[in-house]
Amino acid sequence: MSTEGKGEATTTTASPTIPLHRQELLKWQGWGYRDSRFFINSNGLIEFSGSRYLLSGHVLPRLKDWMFNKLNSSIENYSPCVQEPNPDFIADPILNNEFISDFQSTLGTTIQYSVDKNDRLFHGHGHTLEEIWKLRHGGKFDRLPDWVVWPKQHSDVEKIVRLATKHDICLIPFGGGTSVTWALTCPTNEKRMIVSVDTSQMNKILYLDEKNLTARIQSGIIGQDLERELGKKGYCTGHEPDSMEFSSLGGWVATRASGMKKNVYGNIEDLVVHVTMVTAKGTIEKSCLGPRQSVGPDIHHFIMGSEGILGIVTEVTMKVRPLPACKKYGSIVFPDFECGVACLREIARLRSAPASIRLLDNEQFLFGQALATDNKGMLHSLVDNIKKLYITKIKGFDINRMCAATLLFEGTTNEVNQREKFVYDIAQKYNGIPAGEENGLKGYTLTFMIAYLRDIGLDYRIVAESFETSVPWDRVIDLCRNVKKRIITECEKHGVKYPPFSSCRVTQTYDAGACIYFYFVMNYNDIRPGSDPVHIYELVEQAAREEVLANGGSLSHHHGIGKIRTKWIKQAVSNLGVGTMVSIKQYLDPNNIFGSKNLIPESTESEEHLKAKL
Amino acid sequence: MSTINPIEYDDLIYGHRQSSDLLWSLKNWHDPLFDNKEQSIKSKKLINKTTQVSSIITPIHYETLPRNSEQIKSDVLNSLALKYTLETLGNDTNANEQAKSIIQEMSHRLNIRTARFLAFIFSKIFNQVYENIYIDRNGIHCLYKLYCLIPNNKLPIIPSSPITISSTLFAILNTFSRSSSSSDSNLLTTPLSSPLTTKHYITSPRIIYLPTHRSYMDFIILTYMCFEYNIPLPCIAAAQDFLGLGLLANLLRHCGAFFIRRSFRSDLLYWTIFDEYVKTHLIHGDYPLEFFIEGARSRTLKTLLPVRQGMLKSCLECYFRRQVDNLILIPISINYEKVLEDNLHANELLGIPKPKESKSGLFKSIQILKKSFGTMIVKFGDPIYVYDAYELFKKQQENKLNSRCDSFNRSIPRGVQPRFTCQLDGFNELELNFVDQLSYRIVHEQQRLTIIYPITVVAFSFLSSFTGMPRNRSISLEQVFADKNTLFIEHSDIVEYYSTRCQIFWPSNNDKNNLKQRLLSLYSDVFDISGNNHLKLKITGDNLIDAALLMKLIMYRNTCLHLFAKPAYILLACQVNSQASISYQQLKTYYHFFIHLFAYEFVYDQCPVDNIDDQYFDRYLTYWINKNYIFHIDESTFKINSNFLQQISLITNPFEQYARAYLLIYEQENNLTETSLSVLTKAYQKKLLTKFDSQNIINILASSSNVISNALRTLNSSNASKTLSEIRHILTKIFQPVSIHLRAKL
Repeated sequence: MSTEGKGEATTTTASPTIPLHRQELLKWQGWGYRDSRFFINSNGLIEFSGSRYLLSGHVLPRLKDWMFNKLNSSIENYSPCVQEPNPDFIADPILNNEFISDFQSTLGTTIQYSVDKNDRLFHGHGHTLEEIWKLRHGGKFDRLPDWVVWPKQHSDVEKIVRLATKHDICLIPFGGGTSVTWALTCPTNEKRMIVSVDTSQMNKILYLDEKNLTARIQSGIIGQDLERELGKKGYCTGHEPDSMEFSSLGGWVATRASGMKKNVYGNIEDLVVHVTMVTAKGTIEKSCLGPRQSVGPDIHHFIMGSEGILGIVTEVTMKVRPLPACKKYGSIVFPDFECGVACLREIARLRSAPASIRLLDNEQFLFGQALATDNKGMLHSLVDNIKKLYITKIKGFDINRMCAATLLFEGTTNEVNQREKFVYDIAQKYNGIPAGEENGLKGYTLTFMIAYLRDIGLDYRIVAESFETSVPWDRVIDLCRNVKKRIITECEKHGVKYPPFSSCRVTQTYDAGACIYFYFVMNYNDIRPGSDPVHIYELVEQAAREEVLANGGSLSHHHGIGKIRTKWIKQAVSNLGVGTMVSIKQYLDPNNIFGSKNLIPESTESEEHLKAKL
Repeated sequence: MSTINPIEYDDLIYGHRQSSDLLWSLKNWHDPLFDNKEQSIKSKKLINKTTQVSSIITPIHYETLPRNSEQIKSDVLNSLALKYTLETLGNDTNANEQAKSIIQEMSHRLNIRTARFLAFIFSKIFNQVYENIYIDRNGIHCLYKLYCLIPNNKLPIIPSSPITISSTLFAILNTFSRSSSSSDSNLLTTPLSSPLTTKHYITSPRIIYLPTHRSYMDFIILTYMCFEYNIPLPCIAAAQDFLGLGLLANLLRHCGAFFIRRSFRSDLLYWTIFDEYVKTHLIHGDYPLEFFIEGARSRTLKTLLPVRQGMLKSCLECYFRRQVDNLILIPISINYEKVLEDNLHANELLGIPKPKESKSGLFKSIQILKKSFGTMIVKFGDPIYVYDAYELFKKQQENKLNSRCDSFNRSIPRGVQPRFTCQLDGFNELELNFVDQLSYRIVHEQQRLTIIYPITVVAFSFLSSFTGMPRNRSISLEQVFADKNTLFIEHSDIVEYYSTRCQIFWPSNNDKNNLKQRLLSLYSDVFDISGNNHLKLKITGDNLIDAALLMKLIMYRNTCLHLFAKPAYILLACQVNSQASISYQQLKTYYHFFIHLFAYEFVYDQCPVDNIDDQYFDRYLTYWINKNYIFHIDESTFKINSNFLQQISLITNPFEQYARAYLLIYEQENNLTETSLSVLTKAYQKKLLTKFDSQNIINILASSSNVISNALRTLNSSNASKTLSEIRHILTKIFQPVSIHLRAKL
């Protein structure tokens, strides 16, 4: 099957990492690059393939034991995924012939498009467990996009949207495809033709304004390309979400993304100076680049977080910073999680947080130990052992209670050194002991590995997912404890035989609270006969989310609502809040062209109202 | 209904009689949650640091737990909630001092050494006074499971060797070393190697014990039991009247009692301290709590309305704020064969005032130690997990809530309320309804665990035969057995509708001699034997003393009335209309009338709101039809079966008596202008006592302060649709012949 698009090849200022047909480079049924994956090698140990990452080509001798002991999985319970998507599962597209002929006659020469089954499949999902589960079993989705188009610039998007409005086509914007909220899944009851608008070809940095330290960037650029290209000129945006290898600028804006180093650079709402979005009624943007404006409610604030239901973000003016002179990792171990949280709170109170500070709980700390790479010789392990003895015996830390924080400092050498000393001094007051640069670095590399780890887990009947929330400081400890415990009790209730791995980490600190990230890993062997692991999984996750909300946590810190969390949004922002969103949607998109049905629950009053009218 | 099977119970007395009480009280006692050994210098340092930063964030440090009472006190005094309240009160030093004295007055001083001392004393007393103390073994197993301990099927091994000086010394030394040595072979419980509990105290259960309250003994027995079984000793909420006991109050303090005022709704400072004091126990999870949801000792031995909702609310708020992940409520029923203070109670009900708690009173009461009080049975209900209960409740209420959503009258979401302040109005409607439902559920659970003792059956027989033959005050044992069969064997089905867990304590093989001996020895002040196997009341002729005697019988009968209340209302409604038939609709109206009339007298599983459609009605009606007590005349009219009149009247008799007593009360000239219920009750009682007649059981009932106040509360609570005259009218209509007769008599 070949692409039917006839667009000419264009040269971009950035050399994009992601090809037009994503599946050529990326796994179609899992996370990340095709060449990078964990596998059990001939020695029976887990190894990471490829050469892209720090861990690539390394063996992780302790990981398998951890997996088999802690999660009670075994080598016999191997459940590999299918190698190719099952073509029978992919239904024939619903085509609107008028639109197609109109498109081909007016845009067909400039804008690439495709009806290829694999392209359609790739654009019909994100990366939640349920979606990956379906892909691994052949890719049976109820509804997929019928077409994929690749605009190259703002005007292309305008033309596409104009045509879509004319012919009543449903558009779903697609950026990096890393959504974990079902935001990319097509509504099953959508009877119109669905066109996925892939922005990956809008990947140019249009200009860099060194006087104002801003850059005008097309929305399809992915994080790693953006940083690399800016880096060549000595700048960076500093926006580094964990998904930055694959996620796009437009996606960040549409979901209110948050970057790891927000303490220095800010979250996306702090970074964005100007946004241009194409809605079903035309283009919406501000006419000024002023740094702060008092012109009524900020229109950026309903563009940010609109999750593709209002329009397509095409261009963004973003702040940039000169590359930092010094970058230094660090780590601290604490006797227990409570001490760690108190220390983070104190650091936040003094507003002296490094670029990034993350606190892992004990479970994750131990898991991090299991991810150690192959022994680097006798001396190294000897030093490790002495360190361990010092901490457990002399300092009296309990290995089953201690936890660790990883740190990243950025700035001038002087700044970094000062900040480092300051942070370690605070840590000391909370019984924290500095644990070295290497551990910090390891901690941050782990970030990019986590998603790959899920795939090998799935190979051995282990399902895993993460979710996040933000919460005021005084509730952090209670929330972490209660949610972790809720996960365990819910698993018991639903007949999961082996205790799940439920763990959390504090990933961001704010003046008034923190962002908390949870991992939940469950071995679904020997579950109650007749029950579906994914279903159990969803029930547990829902219960965990309910618990988060009951604990005063937010519905989401940066993942967004998508379709997976719409049922709680009324509770989160009140009925009137949802009503306001509905009326913005009504005004900008009365015919529901951007019909991904994210954010707003299906049965809102307005719809009921409409039905009553009909 | 099943008879008590001692195999299912541990007998505390039996074990103790065979061994030394001293050694027992010095036995190894080991907190299953916390290892005191760990409290090293290092963690002491930790404490200081946390207090330093307590204004910023207060993590709970495992190493600092369990706190001693001084630490708890200072935690409360330093709490942000108290600081906030003091600020709102104007921050004067006076309030500060006041706060200190309040906490001083309130706080318990639980410590294991005094607990040992009391354990020793009370084991002596218990061995003397009780024949058996049965502890529900399933309940103990369940508790062990909550604490992740391995239950031991045997009673704890108590050193049975004769007391030697060295063994005593060893035991004493053992007590004073802060922790029990693990090498001790005597450790009966070993922690399960659960992946959770061994690691985090956070998973330690937050337990709240909710026992029934019938006697002073209730304060002691649970602590005594916890000591016996090596589970954490609870902190017990007690009323402040007990402070009059002086030294004894202090002893109670040392084994975990803390004292709270009876009413302090309007006192913000007191409320804050109380609220914080309760919460700190639950949040830290170092001690379980115990309180009596009925709020007071039930003088009538009947279940009281769950009024201690303030306490329950404080506890639940910890959960609603998610300061704890779950709460475990354990309803407990403590059943006494003979209540320690039954004389006092009977007198009090008749208006003879309760003597003030004092030391001299206590010394007088020491003579009761010479008597026997039979068997005490402690039964545990299934633990109620608040998380599950609330989730279920939310689901049930979902539909109702959506319709009542008012965006102009919103309640502040929990997530937005500050967690550190003491908020009097923090509860939203849903949560308030839940507290209400939960408290009824708790008393209902307690009721379901009732034990029927022989005295209840005897009282039943006596009192129902009373109206018929007032001069002949004896009853044959055969009659007692027959009544027992009618009530608890034949109708065990109806009882089991209510609860399958009620049990009857009855001599095996229906041994008459055994029963006779038991009754005579335990209740020597009530019964006499006359002729062949006839029980006779000890009537003196003195009006008040006889009345107190009958009142005692009424009290013991009360213990089982909740089992029959609702089904009996149907029979009662049919019975009064025994000549004519009664239609389904009419029957239902009467049934609901009785439920509302006795809303305060008999506690049901839910608060009878007006116009509520009782779900059990049809069930009970079908039951009586199947039993042939009631038969169909046609499709929707019923008539009572006169062949069973005797059995029916046995069941309905108590309720008829109560209804007539109500009528008698309502017939008094009313001066409802007085608003204070207690004053009003006294006025009524005075009036009724002037026309007192110890021959007439209804008269006695109507003079009971409890019945009067319940009757008056019914008047107050029912809304305008049911006024006094209306209730009186219905009651008169039902019991007309008698009431005319009564009027003539008066």
